[in-house]
Amino acid sequence: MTLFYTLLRIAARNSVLNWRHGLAALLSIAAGFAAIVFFQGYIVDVTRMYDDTFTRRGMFGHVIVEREGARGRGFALGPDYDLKSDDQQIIDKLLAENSQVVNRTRFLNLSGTISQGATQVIFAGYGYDVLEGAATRGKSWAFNTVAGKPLDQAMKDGGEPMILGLGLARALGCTPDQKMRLLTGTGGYSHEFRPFTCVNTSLMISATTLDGRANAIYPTLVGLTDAAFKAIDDRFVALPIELAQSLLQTKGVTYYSVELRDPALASEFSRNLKAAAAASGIHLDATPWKEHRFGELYVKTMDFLSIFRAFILSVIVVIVILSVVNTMTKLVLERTREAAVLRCLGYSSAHVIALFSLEGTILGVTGSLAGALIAQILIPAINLLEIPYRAGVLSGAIPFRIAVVPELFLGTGFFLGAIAILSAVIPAIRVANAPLPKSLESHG
Amino acid sequence: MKSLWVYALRNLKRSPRRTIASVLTLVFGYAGLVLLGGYILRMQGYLEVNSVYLNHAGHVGIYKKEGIDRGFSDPKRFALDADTQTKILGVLNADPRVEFTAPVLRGMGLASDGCRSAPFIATGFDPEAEARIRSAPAVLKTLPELVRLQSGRGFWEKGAHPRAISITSSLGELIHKRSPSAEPFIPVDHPSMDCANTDYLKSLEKEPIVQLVANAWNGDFSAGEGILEGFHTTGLAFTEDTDLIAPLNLMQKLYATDAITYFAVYLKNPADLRNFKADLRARLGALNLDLDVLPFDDDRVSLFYVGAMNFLYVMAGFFIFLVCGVVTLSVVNTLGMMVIERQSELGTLRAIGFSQGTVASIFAREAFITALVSAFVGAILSFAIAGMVNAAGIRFTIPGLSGDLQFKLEPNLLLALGASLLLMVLASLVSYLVAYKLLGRQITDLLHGVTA
Repeated sequence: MTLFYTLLRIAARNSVLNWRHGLAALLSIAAGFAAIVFFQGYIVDVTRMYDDTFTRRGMFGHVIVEREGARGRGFALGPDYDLKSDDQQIIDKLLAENSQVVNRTRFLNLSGTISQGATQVIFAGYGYDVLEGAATRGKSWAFNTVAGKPLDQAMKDGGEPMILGLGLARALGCTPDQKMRLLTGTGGYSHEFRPFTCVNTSLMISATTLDGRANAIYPTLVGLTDAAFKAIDDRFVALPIELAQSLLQTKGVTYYSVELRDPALASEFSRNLKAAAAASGIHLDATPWKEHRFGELYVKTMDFLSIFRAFILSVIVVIVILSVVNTMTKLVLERTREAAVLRCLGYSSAHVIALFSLEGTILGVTGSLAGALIAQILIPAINLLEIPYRAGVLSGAIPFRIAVVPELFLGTGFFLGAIAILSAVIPAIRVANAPLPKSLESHG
Repeated sequence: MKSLWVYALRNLKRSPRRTIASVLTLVFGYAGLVLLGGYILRMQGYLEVNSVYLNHAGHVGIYKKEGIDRGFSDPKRFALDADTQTKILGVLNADPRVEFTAPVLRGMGLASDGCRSAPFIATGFDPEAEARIRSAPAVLKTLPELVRLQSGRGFWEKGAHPRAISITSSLGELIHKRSPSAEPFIPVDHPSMDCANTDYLKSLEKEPIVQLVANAWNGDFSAGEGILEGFHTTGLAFTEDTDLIAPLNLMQKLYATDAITYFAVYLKNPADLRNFKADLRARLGALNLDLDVLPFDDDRVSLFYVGAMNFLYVMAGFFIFLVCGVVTLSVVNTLGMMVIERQSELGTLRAIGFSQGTVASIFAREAFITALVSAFVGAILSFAIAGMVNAAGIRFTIPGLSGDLQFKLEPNLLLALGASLLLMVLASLVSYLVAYKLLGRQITDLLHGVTA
């Protein structure tokens, strides 16, 4: 132990004495650290944003429950693909008995035409359990309207409320009164009423009922929302489920979304629910949304990001490794004579190797700390700017952000520390085992 | 001047190990840039051809003012009437840069099998122009997977029914049409005619007739029939549930109009796009027509193209920033060590009359040579990797696109030259500045190897 402290003190002194050379290695490690945590942090932020968009904003919770084979389309596929009243009773009972379930929301998909005076456009959307949906959205997405009120707040005023996607609303002559920066940077919109104006507020929604007849309702437009994806937003309508059911003349629903206490148990929960439902006489598909047709875009996006992450990180890591190895090797080799002197004084080769390893560790730790400091200063500054950019199929611009993930900082620190130690050990073995007379004559 | 280059080259030869390490660092950074650039070029080409040809945007679209935003909600007001069409065609036909022009009509409605209906977004297109699009060299080269119909035949093909339509498989699923008709249509008689009767619903699946219901542009209710002869793909996931393509005259009949939504203009040389757009705006402006001339890369025309490319540019920007940062620091490190090791030599150079700038320029020359060699090696490596990846035929999916596509890297000479230039300028400049700063000490300090 005493020897270890002696070597540690020598290593620390050497690091200070050779600070100029050490600085080069330290800079390489710090830059590599910052580069890795910046890029990984960006990917983590995008992943979180997409996850939040589906789980909370889109109210998918964690598991989708529907009739076997329905794939999110319900009775659009045929009369046997929706969940009828009896089925719902069984499902509700099964969910109520399960301690994992936090909340469940029923959805009824609908499509048809929406008219305002002479203007008629197609729509696709859903009716849903408004209060349960608001609970799944949670605090950050409680206020899910860009203008006007969310459905759950409008329900308190009575009537038959409806919200429209911004794109569809524009086509029908409805626009928010103010143009503003809406995303809060941490999820949803600020909780305040923002007015909107319509050329004509009288809207009619028409759809075909299950038995092939046309039906229409006259809901009140209470809010405009951004449905996240442009192609959906241009056609999006959301109604209370009771209103949607009256339009389609059914008591059925298309699917349930279920929010769980522990999202990691989604697959196990799905299997158990399916088995329990089969035992009760109904054949269901219970699927974590990430494995469902609804989650296809999420999965594709994550796969796509993984390819990018693998490519970009591998290039950055190789450059960083080369840079650190180059610097550390030089740092050790030029001190061949010093190592030989130590050996003359009675230190063994193992001691010399340990000494350089400790120097590598000191540089690795200091470099990582410096990188972490740079990241801690720059990341909040970048996030504060909230630079907007359009990405993929999203309907609006999103702010460019980098997540701060402590595990990532630790992992990167360990990785670069290991690289620094290895880069020191390999040349140190050579130096420590070189013939003494030759080493003593060495000029570095 | 020449001697300074020779001197720089000799210095590099003196420390072969360090030179190789520096070259390796730069080679990886360079190859990363070129390969990422090659991927972006591939995606840009793919999405551009998809948008311009398969989604009928044309290189340029000519719309009534605000027609792109309000064409669906108020089509009569925001469409191009027959008179305006004639005037526009007069301008386009006189321009030798135009390969061909296609009138396009876009409309919405409900498609139905008689019992079940689903919304559609239709594109009415001239069959001859559609055939031309699907055989365009750019399309055959870039989108061979998408240009082929999934099944059946297109309304643009020989022998197609005058009322032939093509829909996406997803829309077909919603209205229970799963196979196109290649045979002459024979009506199916069924005694039930009851939408709740499963047998009757099954019998409808065999019928090629798709009922189309829409609001005519004069405000009346309108209905028509299309003969389903083909299933196609749009290549875009979000439009796969609703897309229908049909002959222009069939759609004009459905919407009871002779107007069109826009003209899609296809250019002989897409590189002419910017100039052509500006000239066209000027010529159409002179006719006092209230029009919008929109290129395919306008986000109102191809939001997916713009969104996807923006995302790739953000990634590329991030990558360039990180690689340049790491490469810069690597150069600074190497240089710092070199100056420390060679300070006596550098002090001598200063003592015999070389200025601080001249000595610093030796380091810049060394960095330039290192970057040049790295760029050369990196270019060979990048093109070799791209060739191997392309030959491997790897398939992958892109969020927002339907189906999969081949993972390809398409670096070109311009990209390689640009990356080389970036690397050489960066390395030389950083070297010069750092060396200049480090050499700013007293000559005696340098000669005696005193560290600052």
